[in-house]
Amino acid sequence: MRRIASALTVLRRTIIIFLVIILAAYYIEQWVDSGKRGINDPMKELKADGAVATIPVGKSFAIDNDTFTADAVYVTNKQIMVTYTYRMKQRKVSWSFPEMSLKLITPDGQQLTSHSGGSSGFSWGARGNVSYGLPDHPADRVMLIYDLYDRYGEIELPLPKVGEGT
Amino acid sequence: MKKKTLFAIGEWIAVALLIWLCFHENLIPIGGSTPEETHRLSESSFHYGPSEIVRKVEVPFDKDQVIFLGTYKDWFSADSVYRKRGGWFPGGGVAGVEIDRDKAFSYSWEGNSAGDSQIMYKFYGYVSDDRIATMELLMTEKDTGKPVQMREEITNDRMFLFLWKIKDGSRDWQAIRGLDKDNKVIYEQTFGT
Repeated sequence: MRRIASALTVLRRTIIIFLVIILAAYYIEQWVDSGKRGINDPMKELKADGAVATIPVGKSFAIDNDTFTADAVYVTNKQIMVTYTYRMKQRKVSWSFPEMSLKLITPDGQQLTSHSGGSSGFSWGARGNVSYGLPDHPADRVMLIYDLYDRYGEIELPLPKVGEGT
Repeated sequence: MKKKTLFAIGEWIAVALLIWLCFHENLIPIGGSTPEETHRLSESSFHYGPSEIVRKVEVPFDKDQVIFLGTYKDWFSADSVYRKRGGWFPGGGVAGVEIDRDKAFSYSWEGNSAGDSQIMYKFYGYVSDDRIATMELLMTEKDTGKPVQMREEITNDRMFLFLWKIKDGSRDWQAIRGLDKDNKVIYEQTFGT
């Protein structure tokens, strides 16, 4: 009896240590890499272009039971990058957020081309970024639009003067 | 009760809690318990639908796959869900395809690797034209040149689904046609091969 009891104790404690390590690694990664938004470091990518103008946004819209938040806009002389946080209610059987389908439309009606993006997924959602080319004419704001099937959401993003000789 | 026993019970409860946490943080993905549940969850996560399921198809050559044919407003879909490790998981086809009301029928397709250089094809669509009674998919075997014809009679659900599994690249697609009750071609879309 005593041998079984001590064997069970060893097993039980081994399982606990194993699970604690897995969970700790998961939570630490989220906490430490809170700036991570995909494989590449977006800030490094932006700084490679030269000067970076940063505008915090913090505006959201709902898509069904989930929330999309535009965190900030970064503008260089080559691109406009939007960082976002996506929070989803449903944890299982979930699809990642379709960031490449987000549109950026200028006040004069030009739709900017999205050329790259990245995101880091978690059980609660994701943090990511999408980059767009610059508009043909200077604009002081741009509309970020989610328009898929019958769901729609938009956020007005302020911009520093972009488009010509920034 | 002995202190040791109490501790042991406490530690087993901790094990249960930690395992629950692993599932909650999706470190161990479990999927849905039924194909229907997974299909519904897949659609809601995709922010599409909920579609009206017009037909549930159990794939004849793959007992771990179920396809839900459905429509939602101006879109149609053929959503595949797969069974893995006892749970059901989402697959391709959840995305609704727009019904082009200017055409007699609208279609889409998907090919997925089925292991061993085999591809499983799913060719599906929605028939808008009331005159169409049968849908026909024409292909040819590349090595023999023999024609392969797949036919489906259109019922009230107005949808069609062709499923086949072949060696990768062994067939050429010729055309998809809609025929009326007298077998006359109402509309045909040829594939440039």
